[in-house]
Amino acid sequence: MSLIEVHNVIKNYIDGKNTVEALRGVDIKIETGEFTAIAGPSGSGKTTLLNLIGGLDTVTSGTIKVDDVELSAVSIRRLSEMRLHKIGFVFQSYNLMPVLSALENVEFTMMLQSVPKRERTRRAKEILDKVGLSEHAHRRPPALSGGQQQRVAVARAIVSGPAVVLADEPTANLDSGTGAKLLDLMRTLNKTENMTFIFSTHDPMVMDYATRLIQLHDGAVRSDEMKNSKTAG
Amino acid sequence: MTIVLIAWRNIGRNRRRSILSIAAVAGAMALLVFMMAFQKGSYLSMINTTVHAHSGHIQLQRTGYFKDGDLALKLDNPEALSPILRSIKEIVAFAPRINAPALVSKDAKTFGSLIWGIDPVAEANTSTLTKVIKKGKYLSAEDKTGALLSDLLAKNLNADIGDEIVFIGQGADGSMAAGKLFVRGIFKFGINEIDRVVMAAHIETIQEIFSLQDSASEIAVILDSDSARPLVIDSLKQRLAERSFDNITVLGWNDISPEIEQSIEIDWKTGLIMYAVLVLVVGFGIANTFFMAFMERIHEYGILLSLGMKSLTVSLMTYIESALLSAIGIALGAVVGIAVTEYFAKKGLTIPDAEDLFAEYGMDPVVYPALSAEVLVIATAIVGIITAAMALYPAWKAGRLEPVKALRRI
Ligand SMILES: Nc1ncnc2c1ncn2[C@@H]1O[C@H](COP(=O)(O)OP(=O)(O)OP(=O)(O)O)[C@@H](O)[C@H]1O
Ligand SMILES: [Mg+2]
Repeated sequence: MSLIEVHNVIKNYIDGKNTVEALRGVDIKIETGEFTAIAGPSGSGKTTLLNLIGGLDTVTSGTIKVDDVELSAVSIRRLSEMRLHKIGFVFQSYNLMPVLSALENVEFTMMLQSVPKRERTRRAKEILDKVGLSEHAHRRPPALSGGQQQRVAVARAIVSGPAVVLADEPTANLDSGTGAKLLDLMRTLNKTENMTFIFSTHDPMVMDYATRLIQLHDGAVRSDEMKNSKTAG
Repeated sequence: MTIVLIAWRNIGRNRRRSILSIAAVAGAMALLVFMMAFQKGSYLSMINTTVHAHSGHIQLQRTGYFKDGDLALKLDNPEALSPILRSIKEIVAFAPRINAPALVSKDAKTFGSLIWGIDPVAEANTSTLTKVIKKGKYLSAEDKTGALLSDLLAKNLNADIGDEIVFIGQGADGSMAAGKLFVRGIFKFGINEIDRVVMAAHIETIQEIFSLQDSASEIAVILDSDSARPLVIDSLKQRLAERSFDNITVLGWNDISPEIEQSIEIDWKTGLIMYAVLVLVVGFGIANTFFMAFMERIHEYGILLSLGMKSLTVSLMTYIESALLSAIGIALGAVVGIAVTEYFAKKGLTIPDAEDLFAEYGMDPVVYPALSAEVLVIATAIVGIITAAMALYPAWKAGRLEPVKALRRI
């Protein structure tokens, strides 16, 4: 059993009268500890695939298993529990809660998990320290730079120890230097904590960091290769 | 908890819209408090007018008199009741009266009439009779031969100041009761039932002629405020019983004129419906601001859903945000409403262009809005229930959001 098993997944969007075939039969298996990049041109289905794996959306046909739970077979409620406990998200546009401070944003998922206040503050501080943001813990997102916001987003995604972190073009809004630092951080976490990352990109520099590169084209896997990662730091 | 915190902080984000929501709720609340208090105040002045015109807040009568109007059903030795009446501090004045039906004539004209036997001094403190004299003078304390004629009765008799009026009726013992009086003054209450038939004269004269020595048909009692009425009635009943005064009935003005109490009740209920409709109309505007707040948050709700927050919690958070705005609005509106109402409760609110008309009938043209817990509770309930209902729609929409669609909304 692999950590993630995507089997023959088709995803169609009904857009008015047209049917958009976003994924046309995708088969992928991902193991714990992989640092996988999903690459492909715009419209190739990267976001769609990540959303399906993250249980944010449902497949048209085929199956997706995360940690041996078949997502299409569970209730909406169970799906939101899966997102809460098993999956961490990092989005292109950071998507932090603007009214919460960096620390509170990181605490937030633990709050939903009913982790006691003391424990969650301790852990949130620890993680913020790990992503190098301890000094800015009490700032709200609008007062942070893009790179800092994305670090908070990574901290929020990993704080409760999910089975996998899904990052949809996490560096697309960052300049290349800042993007490289963020990837260093993710790769370090991947190595030191054996944390599984799947991220999408169409930036070759970002692909260089991956240990596995899956190329999507027109909703299908065009290539899937293991490779040597550009080392962290 | 944290969702309350987020909802609270969200309110601070779009200040202008939050202020708009709060102002709309507060405005509705303040208006409601003031209008209800004004309405209550106008009832009080209506009650005041009735009570002071004649009935008093409370009357003591011989049991059975109210129903039969039989002159023989009288209060014996009304003086004996004075100590009891004086012992209750809410009672500010009281006056004994006799109500004797009779025919009154001048020259060849004769009309059916009701003669009020009054104690000029006590009556002056108890009713507005002294204030509604339109011509001539009120009776002096010892004037045993004078009479006050109601306006229409005087017209019908073609009587004027100084004219001699002859009257004839039946005494309490069945004997014939007849006498003559001289018109000292003409009065007009603006209450048709009184202005058509009443002639007032000194109580001692009427007692003697109608064989009612040392007795009265009723004692009218004035209180410092109508709100004390139920308590005073209770303690009067108790004290009368303690001192073995049997066969005395204690009536409130609302027993004597139930139609006034009924019309107040109907007016109040109609008012409540009107207020509810008014707040409902304002409520749709408020609902719109709640909905705008929700629309702005869709993307964030998408984030929360993607983090694993339950739909129900998202829905609750939306509801809390609206509820907080409403609660602030209601509290603010109550403060403003109370302040404005209290200001006018002290100063009084003159009904425009009606001063002369009111003054003619001895009525106060000034309404003093009357604030009460009832007014505040009902206003809070109306505004609270309607805004709470308006907040349901965005909360319901929030609960149905799908994460991907919500995230795509920027
Ligand atoms: N909600 C939707 N309704 C209709 N069509 C959609 C929807 N979401 C995605 N699509 C379509 O599905 C296809 C795949 O979209 P997707 O967003 O997965 O691509 P992507 O690889 O992430 O592209 P990009 O690099 O631009 O982010 C596209 O043709 C897109 O237009
Ligand atoms: Mg995309």
